[in-house]
Amino acid sequence: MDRLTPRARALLRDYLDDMRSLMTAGDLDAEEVEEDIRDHVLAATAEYQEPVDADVVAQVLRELGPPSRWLSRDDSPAPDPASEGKRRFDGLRMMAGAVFVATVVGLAVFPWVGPLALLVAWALARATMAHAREAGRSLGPLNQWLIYPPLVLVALAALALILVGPIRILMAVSLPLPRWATLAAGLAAWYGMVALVGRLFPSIPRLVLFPVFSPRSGDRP
Amino acid sequence: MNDSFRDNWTTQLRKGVLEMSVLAALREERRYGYDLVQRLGQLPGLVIRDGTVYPLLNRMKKDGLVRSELEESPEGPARKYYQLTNAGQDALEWMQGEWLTLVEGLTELTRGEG
Repeated sequence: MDRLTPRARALLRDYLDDMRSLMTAGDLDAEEVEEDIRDHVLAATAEYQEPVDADVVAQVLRELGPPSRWLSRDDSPAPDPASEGKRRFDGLRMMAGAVFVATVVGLAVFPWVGPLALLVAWALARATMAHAREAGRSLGPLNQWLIYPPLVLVALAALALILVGPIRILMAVSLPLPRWATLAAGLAAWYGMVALVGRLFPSIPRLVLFPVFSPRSGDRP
Repeated sequence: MNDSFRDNWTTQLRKGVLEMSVLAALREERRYGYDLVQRLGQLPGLVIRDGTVYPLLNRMKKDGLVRSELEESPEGPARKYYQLTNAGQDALEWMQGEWLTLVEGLTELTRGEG
């Protein structure tokens, strides 16, 4: 939404707040409808020069119509605290929150069970991304901030392991060769093996090294 | 007949055929939301507020009639494309059958041949 001027953003935010206030406990996924509306506004203003002004956004919102007019009565019962909570913490956000908690726990008790907690956080983060993808939803900036830390940490750890992991082992190996030759040959064989695995099974590096070494495509590695 | 009655009748009629129109537009090809709204806007007589489509798509997705997937767009951010599921295809065919039956019956009735 950086394409919009601050005034246009405020206008859209008010519109979405209005919409959300009307669909607090219906059969609709408020977050997804909100994403659709945002996408609609972006698509409708795509041909305008950036930053898009409030007048243009106002026109798009007029064509969308007031939320009160296009949300049926079924979607607009009086809000209650329980449903409000449910709306705000939908499945995706809860998963992202669990990832964040597992990451914090992992970092807090790092030398002991921390790595295990971080691996759990990593697996949860991947599951969250898969869930979003299957649902056809983007993660959104907040969820990204919640789930990316374990992904980055595991990717960096894996990268370090790949790059320098075998050095220690090779240093301990005693062959009738100069040490540098043992190291060079060992590393060449190791990197060759890593390259071969990456070539044969490209999904493995994409899985393990995202987002450090993976072409970023929105929320979908 | 007053204007209020006409407006109400027209609104109800459009509402009734909107689901079928959305499914039919998605049968033509998968579409992202704005594209779908534009396509529906080309239908003569189907005057709707653009926003109406999104809650409907959301419900259809929950009912398994459509599914969505994100796809990169060369023109900007990733777009969410909606497409018919098999269940959506079946639903559309059923709706079309009902629609044709109704239209034929009404045509006969309004001609005074029933």
